Amino acid sequence: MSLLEIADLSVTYASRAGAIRAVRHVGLRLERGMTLGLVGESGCGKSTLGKAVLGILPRGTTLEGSIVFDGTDLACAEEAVMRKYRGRNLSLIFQDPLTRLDPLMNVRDHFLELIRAHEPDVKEADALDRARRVLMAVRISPDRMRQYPHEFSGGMRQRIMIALALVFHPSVLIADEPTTSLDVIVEAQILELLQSIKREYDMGVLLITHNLGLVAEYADEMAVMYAGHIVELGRVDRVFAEPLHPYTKALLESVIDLDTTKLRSIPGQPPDLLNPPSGCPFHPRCPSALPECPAAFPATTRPREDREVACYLYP
Amino acid sequence: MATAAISMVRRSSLARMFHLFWGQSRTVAGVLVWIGFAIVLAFIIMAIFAPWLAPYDPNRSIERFATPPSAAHPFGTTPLGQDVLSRVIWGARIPLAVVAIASVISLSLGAPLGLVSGFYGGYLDRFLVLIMDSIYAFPGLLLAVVVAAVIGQGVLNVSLVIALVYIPTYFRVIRNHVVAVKEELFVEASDALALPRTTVVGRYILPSVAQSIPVIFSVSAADAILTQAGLSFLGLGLPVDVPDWGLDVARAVERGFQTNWWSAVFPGLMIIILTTALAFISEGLNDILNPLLRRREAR
Amino acid sequence: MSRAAGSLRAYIIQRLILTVPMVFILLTLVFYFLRAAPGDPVSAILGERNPELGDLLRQQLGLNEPLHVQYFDYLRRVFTGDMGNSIFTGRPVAEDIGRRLPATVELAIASMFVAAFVGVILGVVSATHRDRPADIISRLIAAVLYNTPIFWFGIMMQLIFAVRLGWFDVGGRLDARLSLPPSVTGLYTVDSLVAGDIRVFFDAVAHLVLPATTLGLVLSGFFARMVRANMLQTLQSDYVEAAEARGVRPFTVFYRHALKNAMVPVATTMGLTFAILFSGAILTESVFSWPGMGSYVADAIDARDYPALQGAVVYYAIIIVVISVLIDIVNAWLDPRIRY
Repeated sequence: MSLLEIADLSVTYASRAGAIRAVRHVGLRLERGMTLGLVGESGCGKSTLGKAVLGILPRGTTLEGSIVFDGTDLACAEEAVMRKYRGRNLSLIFQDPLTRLDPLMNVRDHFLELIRAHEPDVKEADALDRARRVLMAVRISPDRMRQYPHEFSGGMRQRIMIALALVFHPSVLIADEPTTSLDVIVEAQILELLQSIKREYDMGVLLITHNLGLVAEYADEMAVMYAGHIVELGRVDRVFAEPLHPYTKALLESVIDLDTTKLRSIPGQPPDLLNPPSGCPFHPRCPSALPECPAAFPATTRPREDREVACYLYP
Repeated sequence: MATAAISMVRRSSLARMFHLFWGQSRTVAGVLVWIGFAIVLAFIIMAIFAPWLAPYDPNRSIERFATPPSAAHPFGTTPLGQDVLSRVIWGARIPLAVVAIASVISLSLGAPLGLVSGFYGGYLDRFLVLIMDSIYAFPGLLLAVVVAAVIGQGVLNVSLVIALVYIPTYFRVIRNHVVAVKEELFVEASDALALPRTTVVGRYILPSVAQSIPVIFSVSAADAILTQAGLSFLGLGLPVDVPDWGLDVARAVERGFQTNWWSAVFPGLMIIILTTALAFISEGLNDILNPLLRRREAR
Repeated sequence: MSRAAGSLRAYIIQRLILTVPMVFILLTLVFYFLRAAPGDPVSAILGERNPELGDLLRQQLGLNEPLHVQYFDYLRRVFTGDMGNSIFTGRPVAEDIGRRLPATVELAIASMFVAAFVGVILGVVSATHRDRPADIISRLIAAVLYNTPIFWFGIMMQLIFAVRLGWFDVGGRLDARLSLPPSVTGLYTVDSLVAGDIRVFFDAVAHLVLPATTLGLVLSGFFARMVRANMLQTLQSDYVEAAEARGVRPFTVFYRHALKNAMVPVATTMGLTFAILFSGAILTESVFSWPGMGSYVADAIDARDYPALQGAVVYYAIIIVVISVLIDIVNAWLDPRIRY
């Protein structure tokens, strides 16, 4: 059985302007020791997916489908059950480390709060011991535990966030754009760190990013997301070698490397999740659009071994 | 980046503002504003039509002393035998008149000064800010009391006093708003397009600044009514016996309110209702026009 | 701190320098209003009855000198602390103020306790139940409290609790039959504890209850609004979401993260309000016959006691300038975007 199995998940936000369908009929599977890269443009619903798994979506959001973890369907679990999982079996690291720590609390307090939230009777000495160990694993000196967030750089704060996420050795780690606001060198360090920890703790990692380079380097499998739908899913090396969905192709073509002479972008505008195009939402911008595309979203097929695509080109 | 700046330009038109407000009518904030508006309107009507609405002449002594609420006098009578209900109805005139006059004066002096000060900056700005801050720092009632003690009584005098208290408020908010808007991207963008200064002010800065005026007005109006009532209570407001809520409370206290609580309670309740209605308006408007308080929209 | 310490120090110095013109402007305004404005203080006191006495009084008060001489004389005297003698009490105004000040301070402290306590509770209830009935009711209570005329509220408190129920005295600081505790701070509550006189202590507290509750409740409406607004913002912060994602209980999230961070700007405002209370709550002190700076001003106006009024206002002006400078400095320290 998979570590985390998401089936037919749809997430809809209620906003003043109307219903925003951020995630539509998404199916994903995460295994132990695997890094699944989830790629897509900003605003395509990737972050929403991550938050949906942890159940921390704002009030008024509707969830349909199932998220099965450890035999429990998280999509309809009780809040008390979810709280036990959060931070302990399932962890989420966010994108902007600069604002993710309480400015009025030092690192030591952050750890104590977290550990006590899940183990209220723990002794302070034990808790601090565990905190120190995990801080060392992310290469932050435990001597700095009494310092405040503003005394650390962005990269270090992200490492503190990772440490907090790992205290209880979760089986699933969701990293939502963990390095987007950091410079390239720090980015490499953090991702290497995540890789080694994944191996050490035998976790499944869902790496949410818009950076294809990271996916190529660090992910085993990848899922491509557009307007809330998963349009392609498969092993990273195979997808890169032979992208099937037109959107995936366009994405890969737009990546710049040393041989690039001409910039290629995808024509048109990113879809408005309030009022997405009908049928397959990519059809207005798709170079291979077919007449049936606007009618209904295509079913997911398996034109290759270990590959899923949702496109009328591969019926 | 450019698209954001341009859409901000479009959003700054007054038409958009009204459209936004209309769309909010059914939210909590919108309802609040409508209720407040209705109540204030009711008070204004009550004040204007007082001669027809009041059952008795408010200054005439009908009874010989204070009588408790009864069928003939639903709010009882004052120690001088005047009908409290009539006095309460007529009593709306002075506060509303004073606050209206004072607000007009404050707005016409404070707002243009704020605009000029914020827009041109420099030494003029520093000088004005210094003066306004000095006056603003003074607690409103205290300032009003001191100036009123010297100027003397009368509707116009009281209006001037209260106007003085709120000029710095209008000035400050407008000036700070202008300074903030000046730094906004779309003004820079319009500079890049070489639009003449007056267009910049008229089309972009004014509508944006104008949005804050109703909020300032409703907040300072509520405060002004309380200040005016306080002045009257202390005997600094108007010549004796013009019906006025604050004054009536003071009169009731003078004659020992233990035995005529009704002549103090009802005028006070009126003040509370009117000022709370104004507070509804200001809070509702603030909720609607201030996007920071909006719930986090989906990302 | 990423900001250069030098720029903060420069700002402080700049701000302090600006206090000088501010004080002068205020003093000048006070002078203008009380001396140069229409209305002769002497005839206000004596009427037209006694012209010789009137002239004598004018001579004594220096009202016959040319205006600019009066002005400089006035400035000189302010800086030496000589505010003249009160027409009403005959004592030096500076001395009167010294005696009245502790009463105002005591009331200010007690009121702030009430205001902060009630205000924070109302604000938190509102913010954590946004747009639900509890929020609407709290906001309504806060709005009504804030918009109630203080003098009327005080009178109602007196009516209900002093007259009808008889729990408290109608006014004053202490029962007339009790003796004052030896003066250490001038605050009866503190002094009586220091002297070990429990009976006086309880009586002093009992006399504080009504006026402090009146003033405190009205202020609490204002604080409740602030707390609500700030907390709504902090509840949306990134660190709150991150704490939630770690499985921290909602209760802890609300209080340890959201409220604590929300209180930072509120605390500044509370400090400012507290300092403003130092200038005396005119209406509350009048209603409860509380012998502080507020009722001093009210009495001075009634008695046309211009030296007293002038002295009190000069005192306020100085306090206010000091307070506003301190607030500006604290604000600049906390928020690097605010500069002149």
